[in-house]
Amino acid sequence: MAYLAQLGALADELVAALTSIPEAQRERRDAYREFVLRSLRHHTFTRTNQFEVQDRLDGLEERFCVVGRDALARALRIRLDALESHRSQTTPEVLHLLLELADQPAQKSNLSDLDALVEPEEDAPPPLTWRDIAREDGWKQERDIWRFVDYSLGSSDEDEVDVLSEASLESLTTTSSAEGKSQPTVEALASIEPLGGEVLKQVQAAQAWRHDSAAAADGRPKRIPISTTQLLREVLFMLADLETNLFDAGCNPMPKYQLRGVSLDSYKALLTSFAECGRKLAPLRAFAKQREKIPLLQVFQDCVQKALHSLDLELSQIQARMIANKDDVVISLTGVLEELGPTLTPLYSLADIVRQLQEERNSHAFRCLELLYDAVGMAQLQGSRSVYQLLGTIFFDCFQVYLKPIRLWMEEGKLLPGDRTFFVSESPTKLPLPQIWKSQFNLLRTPEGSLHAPRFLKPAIHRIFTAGKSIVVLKHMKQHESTRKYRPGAEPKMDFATVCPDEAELAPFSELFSAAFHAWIRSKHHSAAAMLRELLFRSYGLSEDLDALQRIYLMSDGARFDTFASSVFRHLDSYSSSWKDRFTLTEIAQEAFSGCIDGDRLSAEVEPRGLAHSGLASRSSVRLSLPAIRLRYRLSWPVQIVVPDDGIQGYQTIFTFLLQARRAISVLQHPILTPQPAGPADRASYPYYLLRSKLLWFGNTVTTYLATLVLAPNAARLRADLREAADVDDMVAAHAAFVARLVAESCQGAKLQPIRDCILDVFDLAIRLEDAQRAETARREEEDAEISRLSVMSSPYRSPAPGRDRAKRRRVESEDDEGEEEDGAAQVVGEWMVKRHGVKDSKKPYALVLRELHGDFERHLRFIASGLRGVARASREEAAAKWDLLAEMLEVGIKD
Amino acid sequence: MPPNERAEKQAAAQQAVDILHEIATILNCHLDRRTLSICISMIENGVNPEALANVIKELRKQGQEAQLEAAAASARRR
Repeated sequence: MAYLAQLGALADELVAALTSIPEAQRERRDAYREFVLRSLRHHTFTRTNQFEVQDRLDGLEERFCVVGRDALARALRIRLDALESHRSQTTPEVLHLLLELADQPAQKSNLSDLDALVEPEEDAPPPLTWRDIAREDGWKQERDIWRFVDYSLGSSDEDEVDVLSEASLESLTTTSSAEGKSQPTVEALASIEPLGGEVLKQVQAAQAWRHDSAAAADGRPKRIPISTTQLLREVLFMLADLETNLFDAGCNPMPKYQLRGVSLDSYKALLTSFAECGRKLAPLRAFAKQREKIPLLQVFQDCVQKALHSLDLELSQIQARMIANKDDVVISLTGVLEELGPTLTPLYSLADIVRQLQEERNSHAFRCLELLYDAVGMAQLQGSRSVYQLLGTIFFDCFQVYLKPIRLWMEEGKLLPGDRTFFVSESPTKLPLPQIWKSQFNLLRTPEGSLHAPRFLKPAIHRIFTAGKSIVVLKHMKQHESTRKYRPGAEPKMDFATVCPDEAELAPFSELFSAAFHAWIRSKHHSAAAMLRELLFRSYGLSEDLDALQRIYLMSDGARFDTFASSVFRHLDSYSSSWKDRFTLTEIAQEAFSGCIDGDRLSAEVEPRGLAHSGLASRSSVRLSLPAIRLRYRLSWPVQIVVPDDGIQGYQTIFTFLLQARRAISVLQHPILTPQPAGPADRASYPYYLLRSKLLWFGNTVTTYLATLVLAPNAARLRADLREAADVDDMVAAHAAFVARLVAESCQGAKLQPIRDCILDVFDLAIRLEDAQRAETARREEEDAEISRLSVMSSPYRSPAPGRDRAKRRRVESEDDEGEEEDGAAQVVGEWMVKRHGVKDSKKPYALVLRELHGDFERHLRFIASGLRGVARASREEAAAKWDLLAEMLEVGIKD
Repeated sequence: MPPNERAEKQAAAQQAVDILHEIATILNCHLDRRTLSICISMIENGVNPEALANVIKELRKQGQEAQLEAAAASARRR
């Protein structure tokens, strides 16, 4: 029956759709309905044959194509294909229905009807925007969502205190409201409901005095009365650097308040004393908040903050006593002032220091150390123990920071890059090794010239500097690690408790500090310097080198020096220019000195100036040729630190002088011992021999003076000084002093220039004498030769060639062992040249020349002696005594 | 999930009806969508399509006659 009912409903609908009969005519509708149902039930049609349906559809499609309506055919095909996927059981029957109802589709159907089937697309629903959502959800109006929230750590305690103090009088700390709960959020705290309106009214009434008007009803300014408790609270807040109503930013009391029950004057006095305290602390508070970049100042700031913190602790303890009181408490402002006095007094001196520090705009970073040092000393003198202790502790804390670069420098020889507070600076260029000691590191000086270091460290700076330099030199010698073994344990502690113990209360602070600091330095300095000294002596052979230098330059081994000198003189006398040749000279020098020194390190050279003179001229004077000869001994670089180049210059001067003296003596020691015919010639040679012996005596005196009175004692003193020297600087100084003494005492100094020239003149006299004598001898021999030749003509048995005899005699008398034949021949040539070109004296008669020379000698001698005496009397130098001695020695030869 | 399947089936059925409506338009059956869906429902209920086609033709004819009568009656009244 349900089926029939459904069918009936459908039939109704069909009727309604197809025959638009109005509702009123029910009978007709019912009639139609019946008709539909009847006909549907009783029909004689067979079941649908789906293959037939398919055929018919295909035929229809073909018919469309035949008729020419290809588009229609295609459309049908498309729809039929699309229907394939939706095929159901009833599909063929529906298609059959449609085919039955088809009304000449080939002619009448329109493709445009299809287009009309497609329902126009609805407008896409408007896209959803955030604004719509906001409007829907209702938060569009709320502006607060977009405000920036600051997630930094919660506001400072002071603000919280202020907030809560309005809410509850019970406690001033924030912990009370969080008791028993987990951490409340800031909102929860801020939204705490006051404990009822009553309490709020009470609090407001209690705080009303802050906001009272200062004008009375009649317009005159009146003072707002406040109670002692309120005043006390305000004072404590002011001291803790919080904002208050009673004091303004400069800690000046506001005049509109008045303490109840106390006269205006006493109130004002009290308040002024408190304001004074606050004002004195203001620079400290300001300094504690600044940002400092230099580590030294950062440590100082930290100490200041610690001191302020202890003050704050005391203030809060006072507050706690007043607020959470178990016993009766007397609220007394003067009492509080008394209580705080001892804590505040040291802070005042600290504030002074800070103020001074900030006033000096361009001070160096360690100015605070200097100020602290002075303040500590002052506090100790004044006897204020608490100030002394506080400032002393702060001073040593800061000093520890300052010690760091010093420690690094003294232990490792390194400098912290970019450190402006340390007083050692390194030169940016890398210097050659011998100059490291002197020039690689420098002490910084301020533009005024004083050292860039705290005043109280000045005595110790030099030692710190040398310690560091020693480490650097040791590192270059690759011996640095062994110094670590020598370090005697930990350095002494430098803090207040150790340096200024209670027992030493009466000792002045400066003494205590310098003693402690020197001990500290000694622990670092000693090992490095000692190590360096030992190394210089042992591994680098400083003493051996010095001995070698003395042998070469200072004629400490006379025989070898003589060997060298005579070779050179031989070359000079023979007019060969081979003495000007570097290599020949080097060879001579090395041969002469090879026994006692390392010959490879010795080399010789001739200064270009000496090459300018001709052979004749250079032979005739000691001034022209001999100064040009220079010897050079190669030293290892650590030894070069002690014996620098200008030291070698001094040595060279002495060497030249000795060589000149030697020249004079050697010239005179090759006398021409001709078998003198007895007779008047003998008498003629007396002056010669006299002069010769005097000149010899002069030369020997000078040489003796040099050797025994100048060189030997000074060398011994140098050795002793070097042994005693504490560090390399001392050694350098000792050696420099040695050279200076040598130069002064041997009359080579600038002051004694005329005397030296005079001595050289005397040496030249010797050469002149010898030349004259040679000339005279040559002349006499020529005469003898003439006579003998004449006699030979008469007697043929006399052996000719007197020249050969002379050469033989030269050979016999010559003390040279080497190169005899060459020298013999050379000497003959030399004499011949003398004869030919002549010395200046050759024109004058021999006796006259002798007399002249004699006179010159006497004059020079007198001049030298008196000059030496005069200078010795006039000057106060050490060398004056030696000059006196020399003068005495020379005066022996002056005969009036 | 059942609702999704139902929705899918509904969509598929809807599509099928659309295609059949298009075919009906091509074949010039003068069937609107509502009538078509009624017919489909009837056929699914077992009605013979030929009988249904005859019924529809008959009803149309009778409907046209009724309309002509009504038009003539209204013309006579005026």
